[in-house]
Amino acid sequence: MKILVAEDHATLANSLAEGLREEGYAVDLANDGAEADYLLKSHQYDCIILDLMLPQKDGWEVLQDMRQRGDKTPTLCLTARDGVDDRVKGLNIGADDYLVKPFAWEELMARVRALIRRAHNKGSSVIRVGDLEIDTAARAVSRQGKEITLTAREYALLSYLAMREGQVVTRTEIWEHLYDQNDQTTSNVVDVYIGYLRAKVDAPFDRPMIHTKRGHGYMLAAPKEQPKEEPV
Amino acid sequence: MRRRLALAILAITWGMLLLGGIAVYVVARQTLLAELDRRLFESATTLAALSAGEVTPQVALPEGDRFLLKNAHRQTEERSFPGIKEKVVRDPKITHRGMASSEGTRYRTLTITALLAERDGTAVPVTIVYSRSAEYLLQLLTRLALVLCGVGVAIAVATAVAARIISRAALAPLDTTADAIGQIDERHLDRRIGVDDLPEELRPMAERLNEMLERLQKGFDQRRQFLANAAHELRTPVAAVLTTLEVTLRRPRDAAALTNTLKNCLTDVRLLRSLIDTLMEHARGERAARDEERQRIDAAALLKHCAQLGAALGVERDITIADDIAGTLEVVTHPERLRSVAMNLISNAVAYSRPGGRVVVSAACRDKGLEFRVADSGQGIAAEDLPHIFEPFFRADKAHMNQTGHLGLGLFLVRTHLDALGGRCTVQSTPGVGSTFEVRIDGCCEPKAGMSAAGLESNCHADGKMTI
Repeated sequence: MKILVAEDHATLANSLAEGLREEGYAVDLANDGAEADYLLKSHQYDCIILDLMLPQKDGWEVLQDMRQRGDKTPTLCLTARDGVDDRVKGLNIGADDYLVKPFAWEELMARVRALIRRAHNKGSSVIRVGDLEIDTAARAVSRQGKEITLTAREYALLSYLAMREGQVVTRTEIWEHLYDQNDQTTSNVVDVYIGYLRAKVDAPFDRPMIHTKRGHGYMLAAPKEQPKEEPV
Repeated sequence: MRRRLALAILAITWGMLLLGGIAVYVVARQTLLAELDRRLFESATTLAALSAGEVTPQVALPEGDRFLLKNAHRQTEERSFPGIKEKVVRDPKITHRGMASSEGTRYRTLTITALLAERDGTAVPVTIVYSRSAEYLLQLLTRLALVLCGVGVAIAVATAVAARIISRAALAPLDTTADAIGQIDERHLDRRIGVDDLPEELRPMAERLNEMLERLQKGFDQRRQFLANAAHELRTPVAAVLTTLEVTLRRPRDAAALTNTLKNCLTDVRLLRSLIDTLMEHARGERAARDEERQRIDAAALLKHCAQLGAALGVERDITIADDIAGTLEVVTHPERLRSVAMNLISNAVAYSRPGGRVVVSAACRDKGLEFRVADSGQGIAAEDLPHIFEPFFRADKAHMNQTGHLGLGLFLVRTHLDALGGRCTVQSTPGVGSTFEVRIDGCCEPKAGMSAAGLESNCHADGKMTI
């Protein structure tokens, strides 16, 4: 999952990015409205944390322009103003949620998770694909009741595939949603992580769930009889 | 007000009624008694004259009247004086008028002294006492009094009712206005008192009240806005500290990471402290300047010191401050406020100067007022921003206070202090060329008698300008 943090206060922005990365999100930072605008036009994000008071171009304008372009990326507005008018204005323009500074980290995380879930039409914080269970709140994964321990990156990959359950996801898409601008990697790294994930999620069990679509990408689906499968 | 007005109307009406009634009664009584007395007098003198004469037997007293004639020795005369025939009553004088009661009947009694003279000229002083029943007259007066009381009470009651109705009607607009005022509190300061329905006399008052509400509303709005802005400015650094600490504490960190966290938090806490200091300075500075705070100081030395501090701020970016000063500018003012004004203007000038730029501070006493000027060669201020630069938290780029710690409160503090000092600040700015802030505080230049006035003059050149 990749998140854009648009916040001009350097300490806050860096702490947000660090905390989110440690939660397994890929994070891009924008220090002002213009940069946020540019990043939004050139990248796909799963969620945007948008401070409303930004230099160059304020958060309202960034949000408004984004919605006018038809970009429906879930947006959590951060604001230091707690007036009802401000909230209404933000929600009218197309904010999906609102958080007043200062906020508790856990609350921010819960809201980000909820926004991403909602965008993928997942109602509960526990995502089930066949016998695979992903508890997004506790970041715990189990299959057939057996707990599977994943690294942050593996977890991010699995939860992204689970959000798009049954759809073919391209390698580039995965790479874009898992890695931020700071990562000096190529999309080949995706194959490596798919391999790690298979070893933990598929290998110990009788039926595989992670499928390769040659020339297209990967797909996570509930195990059926015998899907067409080819190793990478 | 209404009660008092009604009571006043009633008191006046009732008083007039009472006085009128009494006057009518007294006049009627006096007139009737005078008429009675005139008749009694006539009868008394006639009887006295006739009493000793031969005709006496023919004179009969009217029914119920009484007649006494006394000589000088207060002996009651007999009906005839022996040896005296025709007599004349001379110089009759009423010495006593009075009412007397006898056997249930009230009499009007006149006592008359006179000389009873013989035809030959000898005269004897006598006292004539004549009484006549006044019962009829008194009954008449009693009836008059009753009628007067009845009419008086009726009028009094009528006026009381009328006074109540009239005062209520006359004061009804006040009630409406009172209700309107009663509904105004700090959350409904936009309400106004209806002026059109008020009587002409009350309109100026209502209009003044509305003007007062207008001022209050403006003040409240500004204060509310200021508070909202202050809260907003406080929240971002608090959020930064909170998030940084929370994220850091979520897992074990090495010493370098912890040091980094502490440094970042320190920066934000410093920012918070300077914000709070500034807000406190504003809160303290907002009240009007008091005389006891005023001191006689050398403004030249103060400004020079501020310029030196400003130069220290600009050292890193190679910004120079022209501070060539000699002599003194004796002023009586509030040194802390003056220092804050100068320091804020100078540090602003330094902050907005380009590296290698130059800030010039100049000061002079002109027309008994202190004038000083801070000119920079910085980025200047856009024309559309100029009217707003003295507003709290105004920043040209609308962003949060950034890491340089620029709060957007410096010029606001300048305004706060200048308001208290009775001074003003004017700005001239050309984007890309620089800005000049000019402060004038009237009437504070007071060279002490005997103090080096000549020295002062030599520093103030022909145009009264001096470069520090």
